[in-house]
Amino acid sequence: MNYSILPQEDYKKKIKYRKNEFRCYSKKQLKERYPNKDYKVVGETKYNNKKEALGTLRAGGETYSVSQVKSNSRILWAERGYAAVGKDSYVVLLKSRIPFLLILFGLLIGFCVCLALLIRMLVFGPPDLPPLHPLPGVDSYVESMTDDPTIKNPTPAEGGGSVAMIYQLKASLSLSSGQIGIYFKNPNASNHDVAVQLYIVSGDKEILIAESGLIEAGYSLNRLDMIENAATLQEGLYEGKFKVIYYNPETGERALVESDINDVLITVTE
Amino acid sequence: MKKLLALLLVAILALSLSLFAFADTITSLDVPATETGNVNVTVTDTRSPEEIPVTYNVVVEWEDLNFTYTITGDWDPEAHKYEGDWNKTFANITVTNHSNADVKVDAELSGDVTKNSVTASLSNDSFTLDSAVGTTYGDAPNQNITVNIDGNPDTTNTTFELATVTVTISKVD
Repeated sequence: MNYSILPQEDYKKKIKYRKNEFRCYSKKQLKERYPNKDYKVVGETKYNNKKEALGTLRAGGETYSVSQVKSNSRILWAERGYAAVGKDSYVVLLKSRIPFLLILFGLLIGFCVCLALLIRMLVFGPPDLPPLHPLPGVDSYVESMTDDPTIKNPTPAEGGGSVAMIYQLKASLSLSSGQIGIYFKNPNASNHDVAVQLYIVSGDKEILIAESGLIEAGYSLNRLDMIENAATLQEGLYEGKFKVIYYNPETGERALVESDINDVLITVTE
Repeated sequence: MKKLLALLLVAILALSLSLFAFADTITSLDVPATETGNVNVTVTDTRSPEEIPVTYNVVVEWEDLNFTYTITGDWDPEAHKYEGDWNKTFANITVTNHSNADVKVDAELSGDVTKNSVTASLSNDSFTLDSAVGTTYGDAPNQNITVNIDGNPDTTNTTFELATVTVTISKVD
């Protein structure tokens, strides 16, 4: 069946399919014209209607396929207008709800996120944001240097500092206990605290296998715990290095200077 | 016979009462008198060089590595820079070796190095320090690494971190 939109003077609604615009009745107008609902809807159409066609509708120079009423889902398509095609006969003009649904979905997601953050703030308090270089806690294995002949260095001036490192180029790792014996001292001559990392060097790769907590000036460290699953090692000798990071004891800031100590011989035993 | 033996013993006893000198042999000494001699000390270590453990003691000391640029002039539209002055253009990092072995020192910058038209660089970033054996604590071998700053910042009223200096210490074979 071929239909054409009959012009009516009291069309108040405009519908646009791509660049094609034409006039029709709104739902409200139809209810006012037909309080007893004595009109007939012969079909429905939309832009690029793929449903089984009962006919066509000619409008604004374009032809649209007309399918059975309610053949298109009303969740995705809304009835936006009614075009007169005969006496008391109309074709429903549909428009997509998808843009609206996407906006609604986005707003819903945003609302849920805000609600979750609010609940988190109220229940757990504000988020704990660690600084870029957090100050480690004092290492539990440190020992006071009772034989340190050096005198306590004064608090470092802003921006400056001094670290004396006493060490031996060896480390012994026990695979069964996961403990690493080292020789490292941070004497009183230092005015910065330090933390020590132990790496295994394999070609261009450096693999971190242990790191200490804070070693304050006047303290030594002779033991580290291997980081779990850091590497799979076998008994034998490995090349390693210490990385020594300096921390200002007054501000807790990490210094702009640090040291690498190469040529550490790591002996791995069972 | 007994008298002869007794005389012999007396002579031996008299001779054993002579004085001993560590260096010079004293043939006669007036009383009272003073005699001096040299005290020589010989130190020996019977261990092989491989058995002597090396305990390294290296001190890294650095000056203030904060540099301030104060804008004193107007914006230069051609150079796209503000005229101004640096409070300083370099700072030193001193490495001292108190170890009983030589050490090799290398320094490098990590991080942005160049940021906001300001560049950091190093001078004397690689050297060897001799063992401290034979020196006093105050005269231990040391050298300076110099951190240099160059350029006119193209930003205002901001503080930014340019680089970290890593001082690498290696043993000398």
